[in-house]
Amino acid sequence: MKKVIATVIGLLACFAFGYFWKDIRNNQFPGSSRDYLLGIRTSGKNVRDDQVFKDVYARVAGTNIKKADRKELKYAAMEGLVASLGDPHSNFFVPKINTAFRDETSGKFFGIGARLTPDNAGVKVTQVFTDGPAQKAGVLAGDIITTVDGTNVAGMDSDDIVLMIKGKENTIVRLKILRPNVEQPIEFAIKRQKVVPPSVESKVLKAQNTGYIRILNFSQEVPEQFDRELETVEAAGIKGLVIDLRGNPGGSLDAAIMILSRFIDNKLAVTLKFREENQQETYETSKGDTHNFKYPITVLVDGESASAAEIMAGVLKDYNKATLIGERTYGKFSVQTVFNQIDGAGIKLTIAHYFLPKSGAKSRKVDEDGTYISGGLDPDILVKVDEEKEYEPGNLERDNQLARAVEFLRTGK
Amino acid sequence: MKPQSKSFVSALLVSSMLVSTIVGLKVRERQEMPDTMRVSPLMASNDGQIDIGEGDYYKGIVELLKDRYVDPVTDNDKLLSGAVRGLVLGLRDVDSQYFSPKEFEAFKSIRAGSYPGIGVWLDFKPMKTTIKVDGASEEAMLPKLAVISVAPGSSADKAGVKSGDVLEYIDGFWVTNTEELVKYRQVQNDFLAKKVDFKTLNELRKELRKKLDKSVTPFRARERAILGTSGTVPTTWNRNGKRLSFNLERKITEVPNFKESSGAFILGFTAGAPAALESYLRGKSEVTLDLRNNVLGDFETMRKCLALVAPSGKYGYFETSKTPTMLSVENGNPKPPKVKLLVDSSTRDAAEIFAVALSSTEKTILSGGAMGDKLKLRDIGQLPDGSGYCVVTGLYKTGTPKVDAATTTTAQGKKGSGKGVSL
Repeated sequence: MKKVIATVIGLLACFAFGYFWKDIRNNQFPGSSRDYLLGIRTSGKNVRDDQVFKDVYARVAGTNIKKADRKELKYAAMEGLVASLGDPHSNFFVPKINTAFRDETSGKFFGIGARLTPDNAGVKVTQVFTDGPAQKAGVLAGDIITTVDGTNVAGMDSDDIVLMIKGKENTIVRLKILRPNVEQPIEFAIKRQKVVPPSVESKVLKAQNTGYIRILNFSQEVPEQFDRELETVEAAGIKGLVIDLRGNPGGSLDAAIMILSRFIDNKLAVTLKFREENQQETYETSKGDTHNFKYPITVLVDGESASAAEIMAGVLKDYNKATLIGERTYGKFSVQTVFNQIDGAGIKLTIAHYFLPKSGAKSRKVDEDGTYISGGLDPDILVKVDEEKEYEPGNLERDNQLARAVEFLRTGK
Repeated sequence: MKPQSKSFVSALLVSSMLVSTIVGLKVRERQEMPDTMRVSPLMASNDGQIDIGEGDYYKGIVELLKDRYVDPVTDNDKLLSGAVRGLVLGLRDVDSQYFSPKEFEAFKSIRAGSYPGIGVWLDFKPMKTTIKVDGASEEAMLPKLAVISVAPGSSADKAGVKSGDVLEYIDGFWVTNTEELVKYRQVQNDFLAKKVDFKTLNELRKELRKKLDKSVTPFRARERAILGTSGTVPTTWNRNGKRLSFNLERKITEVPNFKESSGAFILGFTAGAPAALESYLRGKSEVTLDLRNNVLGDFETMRKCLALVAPSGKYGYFETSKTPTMLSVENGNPKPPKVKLLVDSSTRDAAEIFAVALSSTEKTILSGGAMGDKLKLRDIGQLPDGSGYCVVTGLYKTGTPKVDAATTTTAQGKKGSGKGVSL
């Protein structure tokens, strides 16, 4: 009989040990459900952080009256975890978003070759790219797209409309278009194809004898396009050059280095430094590819000049090849990689910083709410956009930053 | 006993010990799981996706950040707080919040009746707002940072800041305002559609830019209001569409937690309240309890105070994510005094539950304005770096929990729900 009682007590003790194991491991006094009603709870000392997280997660996910989805809460926590780095370019992507992100960056989407802006009736075509599908089909600048594949898009968000127009390569998108001075809507069936938007535009400001070259992004074709536009403006006998990198989100660093090789012969452009002290890569401009610029150069930058665009501007500044005019740049001097998780989620993480030859690292820092703290490249001459005028980049009358750049080229001040 | 059967018995004993330990572990695990997960373990991963446990997921990402992130990651506590912040924000509930270390310090101090800063407690309050979209007006409920309680004697109190005032500007910063951004986007669209001229757009843009250049999130704005013990801050408040500006001094304002003042006993639910109330009640058959400015009271303290003025019994229940929890009073007062409760919109949380529970007895009357309508039970936790969080874990209801249709009707028919909430 005694043996039976001893066995039962022993088994009960084992059961209790199992039940309270969690608390013992967390250095906490065995708890009960009533604990949730008590005042402030602090986690025990010397408890590993992942154990504290597990505990907090179990309490928040298990007791909240909103009965939020556990998986969503887990992902929300991971977003917060990655955000605590204070780096705007390191993000956690839930599986759904991560898949979309992968599709977008691997270029699975193809378009019609036009630039679009929001319009109350749908989206307005502001530019049709040379040799693009839209131009071949006969779409003109000024047309308004009102229907996409039978859906009336008036009143929809323009980003969503663009997503509807884009699709897989060689598929057909049917558009209904309103054209000024044409009564009936015109119907188009356009084949989606790889679109190479022109990335370099130029013009000559004749009265000021100044060349103006705008680089919209750094795709692989940009160095070639830059050389061509440079030749065009120089043929007009210019006395100064404005390179506009405003709104340029960057792109291929190699493309930027190739353009820099026109200005700087065989010198260090940027150093890429990774986590490990001795792990770094350097980028140099090529030898013997310089161009003989016989006139002063200014570079326009703003808060949307990022990545390769900032690097190009910063290197030109560091080697005294150009004067930067405009506003502080965005501050993306870093490289990211996406680490995919087995559940499909992804972590985009900054793994290296670019260092400019003299200006050093200028990476943007933010607080946990995304508010700016520091970073970005400061221009030599700060000029903010004149808010009193309707702004139009490249139009001297309506672009005070360009006007200031031209003035600098003329007076040297 | 044969040696053979002896070893058989000990093997049996060891294995049953193991089994009962595992059963203990599993029982605990099941108990902490929400009901929705408990339905069928076989169904848990039928969406065809791999689900990694949150602990391993967290550990995996922390390791990745430490291994590969460009700058050294050494502060484990900061990572943990970031994850908890994300977790709490993921609930998308205005009453469940994460507090930075400094904010949590102030939160605890205010709970104990000592207000730093300008002497208010601010919280997010859904407010009816009209947004104009394409000429048509739409009404939406947007959470705004509003005054919940004003510490009597504080600089905010002396200047005339009132409960319900919405904070718009503090210490050189504007509080980010969703409506203004929505309005600007609308005007921008109108401009692109050539419905308004550039001047109109530009006026609005300039005004918005001025504010955006110097704006802070509501969380940071609250920090500026509830922290600090010296200096003066300029503030602007919105009271029903009217703008009010005050320069307010930052200092510590002590609010009495339990003392008699002009015939009423101020009752705050902080440590020591039950003993103070007990000695105050001695020999009295009729008392007035002041529950105003009682917003962050401690629940257990409240329950002990309730036992002093109410007989034993059940006083409603808490709806939780699991089975309802009863609010019961044991060792109550068999001869409770007549109680008059002074309440208003700064009577919230534990205090409001106290008022509603007590007013279900016949010996209690409520006096004052409508209460905060926050009959919520919260779980408050502190993290290693000093930050904290509070999560709503229960909703207080009068009557008895709904078991089936029949009991529901009786419960509602007899007691009614939310009695005393709106007066």
